[in-house]
Amino acid sequence: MNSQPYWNPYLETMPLERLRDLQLAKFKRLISWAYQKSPYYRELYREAGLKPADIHTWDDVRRVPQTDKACLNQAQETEPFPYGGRLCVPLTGVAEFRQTSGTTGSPVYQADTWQDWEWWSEAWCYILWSQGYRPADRVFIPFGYNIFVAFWAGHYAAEKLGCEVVPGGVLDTAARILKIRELKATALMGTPTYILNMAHTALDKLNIDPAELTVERITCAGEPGASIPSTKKRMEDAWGAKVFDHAGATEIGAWGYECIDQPGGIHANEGMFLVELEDIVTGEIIDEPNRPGKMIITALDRQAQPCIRFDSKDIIEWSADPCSCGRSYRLVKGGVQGREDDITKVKGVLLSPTAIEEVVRGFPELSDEYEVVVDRNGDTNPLL
Amino acid sequence: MGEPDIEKIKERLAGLLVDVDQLEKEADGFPAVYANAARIRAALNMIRVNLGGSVFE
Repeated sequence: MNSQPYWNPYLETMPLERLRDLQLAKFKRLISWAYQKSPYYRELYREAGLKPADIHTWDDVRRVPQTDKACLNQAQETEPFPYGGRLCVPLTGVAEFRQTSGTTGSPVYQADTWQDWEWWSEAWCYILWSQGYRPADRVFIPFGYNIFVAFWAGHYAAEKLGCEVVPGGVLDTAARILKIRELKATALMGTPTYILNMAHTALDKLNIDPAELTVERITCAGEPGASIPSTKKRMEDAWGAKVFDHAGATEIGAWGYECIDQPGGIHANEGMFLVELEDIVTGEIIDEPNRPGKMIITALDRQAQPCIRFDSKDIIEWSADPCSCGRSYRLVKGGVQGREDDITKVKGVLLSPTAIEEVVRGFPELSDEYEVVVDRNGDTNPLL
Repeated sequence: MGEPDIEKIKERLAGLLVDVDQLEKEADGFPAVYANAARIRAALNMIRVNLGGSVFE
């Protein structure tokens, strides 16, 4: 079993045409569920003159109204407290509360049923198995288990895989490093910033070289760093471990993962999510590779508060090349490149902060922190 | 490593879902059984999703 490269050999290698049929069938069921159970979605679709029975083709799918963070915040203001009319189950069916950080507005409260919680950890199983996690791994999770979803599902997925999980909870960074050394942990999960910070703490405060510890793989989330080559290299050099990216969000789920072949991108989990790419200016759906757009995403099996055609504002593009791992799930080239809100025009060129990070972290003599200032000077806006 | 027989797994799953439905009905008034049956259902539904099905079936 452990030599099986795919968590799900049936779905992950399914020919794309069959995968599309499967997604369409699942999308129809999801829309029916949301229409029947959620006052918010029912009203949204009524206003658009749309009924679930109207959806037969991909063109019909594209007519389904999109939502975004502002819509979720607005829906949250209605009954039932605290989730609002997007909720599709009775409050007694809610098993888990999480919320977004509120970085781009008010926090969104996210209800999950136990079924949803199983779904969360299942999506993470795809991530961890594809990155080489196996039952022999001892996984240390240096995360403040709290109201943010972060690595909660990673914890439960590692358990489901049969790994031994060590919750790093409220320990401080030095104590975490000492525990990793004491227990000979083989894997870690963290944000790129924190993984680098741990490496500095180990070297500077404890005189421990993290590369000499037993950590073999690190799964990152929360920031794009693990898909930025220079940041990934910095982490891999510091820890002497393979560093992998994954993509997800509280209101969406864990939708993408970098596999063990490290193909320079992440696979969209197309068995559990519908990932659409839309031109920022024209709104046209982009299916061809090497053309960036914003991601419109649907979680195909989420019950309590479905995520349907959600405008994530994430900028991504499809890769032209299939991955050497053999998965048919499409590759998102370079991972999430940034957010639509963060894209700045500098001298007429669209610039994402991740492009700056790739340059800054490519210089080993520079530290991990940097600040980007775009000034305005007459008709030009130089980058300082 | 053998090839999984998807149709056979689907058939087995369908039987288990019927059983868990029945278990839930018979556990009326027995929270300890009902709650665990609900968790079994959630796990079975994830098998369904992994076979290309939907939790909304």
